[in-house]
Amino acid sequence: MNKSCIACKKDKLDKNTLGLNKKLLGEDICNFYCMECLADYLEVTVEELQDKIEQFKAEGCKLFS
Amino acid sequence: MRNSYGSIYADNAATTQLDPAALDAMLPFLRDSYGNPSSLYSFSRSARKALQEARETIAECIGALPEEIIFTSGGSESDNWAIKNFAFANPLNRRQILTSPIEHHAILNSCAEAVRLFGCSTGSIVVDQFGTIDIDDFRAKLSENTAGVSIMLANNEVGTIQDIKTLAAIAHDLNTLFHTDAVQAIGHIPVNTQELGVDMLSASAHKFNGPKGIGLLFVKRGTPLVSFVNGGQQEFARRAGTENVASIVGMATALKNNCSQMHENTLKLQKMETLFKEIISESISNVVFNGDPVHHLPGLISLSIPGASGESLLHILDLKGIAVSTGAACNSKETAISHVLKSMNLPVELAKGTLRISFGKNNTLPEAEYLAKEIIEVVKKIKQK
Repeated sequence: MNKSCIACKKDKLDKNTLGLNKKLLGEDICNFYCMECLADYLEVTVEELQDKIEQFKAEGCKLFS
Repeated sequence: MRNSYGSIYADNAATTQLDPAALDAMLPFLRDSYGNPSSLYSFSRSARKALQEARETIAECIGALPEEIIFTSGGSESDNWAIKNFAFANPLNRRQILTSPIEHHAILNSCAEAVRLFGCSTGSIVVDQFGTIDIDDFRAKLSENTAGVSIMLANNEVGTIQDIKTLAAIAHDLNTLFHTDAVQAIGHIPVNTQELGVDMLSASAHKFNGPKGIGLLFVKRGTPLVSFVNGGQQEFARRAGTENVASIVGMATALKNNCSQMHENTLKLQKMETLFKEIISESISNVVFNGDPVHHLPGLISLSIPGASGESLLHILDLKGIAVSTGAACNSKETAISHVLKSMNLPVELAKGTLRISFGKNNTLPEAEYLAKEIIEVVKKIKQK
C-alpha cells in the first residue's frame, strides 16, 4: 500500500519509516510522517531517528528491514 | 542531547551512578594493593584488612554480624543461592518453595529450576492491586512441607514495600526458612536484618551507587547453607573464589555513604516525587500511579497513562536524552506486559501505557519538573495521532 506523509505529502514511504512511525506514535496509527517531518514533529534530528531504526533492527523487530 | 539540562537519567531502579567516593576507595586495590587476600605474605595484608573492614562496615549498615555477610557477584547470584539452598538444606519431605508472583526473575526462574532439578514444588502468594502480599493467602499456603519462603522487601517496578517482619515471623512459626530479596531496598530505606527477622537477604551494590558485579547474601548465623561455588576456603568456606576486593571496598563505601545520607536523600526524593506527580496529575487525566501509595520506595514512580504506549513514550523520551523504563515492551510478535503489573491485575490498556520513573540521589527538583513536562508534551503528541 502506498503511504504518504500526512504533513508534506511525500509518497511511497519505505518500510523502515512506516515502522518507526508505528514504534514511536503507536501501532494502530493511520497517518504517517516521512523521516524529515517526523523529526520536526518530535523535535529531534533525522540522524537520531535513523539511529533508532538501527536499534530496532538490531533488536530483531519485524517492522524494519 | 537535546534538552537544556543535558541528559536526564531517571532509571535508578535499573542501576545507579557509582559514588565517586566508592571509586576512589576502589582504585588502590586495582592499581597497587592487588595482593590475594588469602596469601600469607605481607603484600596481601592491606587487601586482607580492607576485606575485613568492608565486611564489618556492611554488617553494621544492615544490623548483621560480619560473619553473616557472604560476598557474591550480585543480586541474581544471591537470589539463586537462597532459593536453591531451600532444596539443598532441607529434608526431602520439605520440598515446597513459597514466593510471590511479583518477584524478580532471579527468584522466579530459580524456583523453576528447583522444580526441574530438585523435585520441588512452588506456591505463589496472591498480591493485591498495590502489589502487597495477601497475608491470609500466605498463611493458607504455608505448611510443614514448605522448605522456604522468599518475598522481596521492595518491588523494583512499582516500589511497594512488604511487611517482611510479619511474614518472616509467620514462616518461623512453622520453622520455615525466610529469604528476602532486598536488592531494591538496601541503601534507600532502613534495612536491619535483626529487626526484619530474616534468615537470608540478597543485595546488589550497583543499586545503591556501588560498582556492578558485586553483591552479598546475608545468612543468619546457624542457618543451614550449602556451598554454591566449591573450591577454596574463601567466605568462610561457603563461596569459593578469590575475593573481588576492589568492588567489595567500593560496595562498602557506597552503602555507608547512602546509609549516612539516607534521611536527606529520602526527603529530596519525596519532594521530587511529589512535584512530578502534581505536574502530571494536573495535565494527564485518568493517570494511575501504581504501587502502595504509602509504603513504597521514595522516588520510584510507576505511572499508567490510558491510551498511550509506554514503549513509544520511552523511545521518544530517549530521543530527547531522557532515560526511563516501561512496564510493557514489544517483542517481534506482541506487546509483553510486565509480570508484576499482570499480577496486580492492572488492565492491559493501562499496563501498556506504563512508565517507571526512578529518581536517584543525584537527580534534582528541576529535572523532576522538566521530566514531567516533557512526558506531558510527548503524551499530547502521541494522543494526537
